[in-house]
Amino acid sequence: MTSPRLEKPLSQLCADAALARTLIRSAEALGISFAILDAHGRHQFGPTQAGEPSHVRPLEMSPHVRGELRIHADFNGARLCAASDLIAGMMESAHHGLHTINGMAAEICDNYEELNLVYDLCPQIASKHEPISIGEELVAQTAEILDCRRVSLLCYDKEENVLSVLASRGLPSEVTTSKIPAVGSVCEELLLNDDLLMLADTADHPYFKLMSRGAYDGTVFAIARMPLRVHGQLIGLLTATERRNNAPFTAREGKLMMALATMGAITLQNSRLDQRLNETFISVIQCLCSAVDAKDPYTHNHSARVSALAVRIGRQLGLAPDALRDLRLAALVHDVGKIGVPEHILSKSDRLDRDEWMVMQKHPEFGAKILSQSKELERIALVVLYHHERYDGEGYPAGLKGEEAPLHSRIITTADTFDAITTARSYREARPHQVAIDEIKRCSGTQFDPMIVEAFLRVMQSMPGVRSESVVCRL
Amino acid sequence: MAKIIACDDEPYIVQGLRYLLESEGYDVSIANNGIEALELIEKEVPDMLIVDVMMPKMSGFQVVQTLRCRPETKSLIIMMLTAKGQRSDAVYAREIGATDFMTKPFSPIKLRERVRSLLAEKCEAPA
Repeated sequence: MTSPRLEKPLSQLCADAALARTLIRSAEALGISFAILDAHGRHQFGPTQAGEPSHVRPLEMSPHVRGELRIHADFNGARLCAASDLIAGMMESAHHGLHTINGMAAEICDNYEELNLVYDLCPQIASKHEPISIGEELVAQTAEILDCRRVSLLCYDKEENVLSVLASRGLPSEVTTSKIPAVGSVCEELLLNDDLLMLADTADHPYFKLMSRGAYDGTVFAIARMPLRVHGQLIGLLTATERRNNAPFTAREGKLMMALATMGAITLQNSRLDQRLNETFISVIQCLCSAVDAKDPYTHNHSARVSALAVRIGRQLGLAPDALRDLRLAALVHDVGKIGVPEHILSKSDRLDRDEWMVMQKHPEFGAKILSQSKELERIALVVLYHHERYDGEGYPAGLKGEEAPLHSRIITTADTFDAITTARSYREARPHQVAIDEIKRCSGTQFDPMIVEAFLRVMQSMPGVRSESVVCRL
Repeated sequence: MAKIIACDDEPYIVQGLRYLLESEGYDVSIANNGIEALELIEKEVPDMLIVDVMMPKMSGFQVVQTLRCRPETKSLIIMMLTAKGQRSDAVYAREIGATDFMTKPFSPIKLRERVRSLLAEKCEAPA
């Protein structure tokens, strides 16, 4: 907001109580009486007196604020001149003071507007988590605040040294999908080192066409561009153009754009770090699972397959993203306790004897114990503990019945059984999918939760890929 | 021309408010604290009072409570300025009978619009 400077007319200046008091006291001290008239000759201040004034002088506080001073006095000459100068001087100072205050007040209003915008937009951008939704929010805010039809947020890929569009509006579609190389001496210099760039028209800038690399068709317009940086490193570029009112950008709008870009850069970086942390976490878990799988070549990739199938069943059941994430993790680590089972038992080709079977049945407890060491994995320790429970209560280790075992455990049991039947084991060959499906159907309501069996069957119908994938993995 | 009293102990804010509302053509008087505001209102009841919550000696809440006890200011339009993040202030402002509130730092554009619509509502309401 840029407010016009407000000049108070003489009438309002005279209505100021403090000024009026000072003027009255001055008149008393000087031994005169005086009146102030505005430019139209209307009386504004002082007593209306009959008779000719002893002295009349024009008052000119500014080209717009003018009037007349009429003094009635018993004296003349230098003393009257001095009194007249004094009153006129006071009016000028009062006007000047008020004008200055108004200027500052206008500035305060503008700053408040700006501060308010920044306060409002920060939480809106920061509430987004995915890079694309952050980008879209940033673009939407920029378009609204700067009143631009065309806004783009480019992401900078340092390794490839290219820019690509993360989010945009009003950009031709061929541009949104292309990668813009950042190489070339001048362009690179400007892209990587320039801070806020605001041009009243693109022809102003000798390197502009080079920088834009054909993204614009050469029409002249105002443009504002601001790099997004984290620790001085370029991560993106925010560009706004095609103003609805065609006016050049103001310094204030430049500041707002800088605030937007800074906020966007931090949020984007946080989202990237968060994503990387999550990926690292999952990959550490996968390493852990590979360690278990490696003990038994027959169960190679078993965890990954069970996890994939469990997530499909979970989706069929309509689980929320967070619940699916936990399910994926729990399924990946469900057999981690086998690390505590001696290898000769795991890879035995004959049937296990009673003692060996007792040890084998300990693996859910071993697993839960291992997982409860980690705060992040604690939640899924229970899921792992009960992944060999049965719906009829005949499972181990606790003999939980029906829905007493966690939902995730019941899903994993079903997926685990399917994978166990359809892959080769040390003691038998792999069997066809139909055998596994029939077996799971047969045991619905005894070994498995019927609700989950139904979801499993829907997965089998809708995802033939599960079958072929299992076949591939088995080979 | 509607008469508005702006009351805040921060001189910059009160000058900003005065400037903003005078630019709109309102007749604005300034009060630097709650006591001054009450004195001004006793002399002449304005069309609207804009008052900050956090002020030394007498808080904005006390000003509003005092005014609501007096018959002549029972239905005076009062907008309170509350601090950002003090949600409870806004709730309390409503409870004690403030007509409206805005959080600081307020948007001058929005404040101007709010003042305009509050005064328009008053004009429409039967006397």
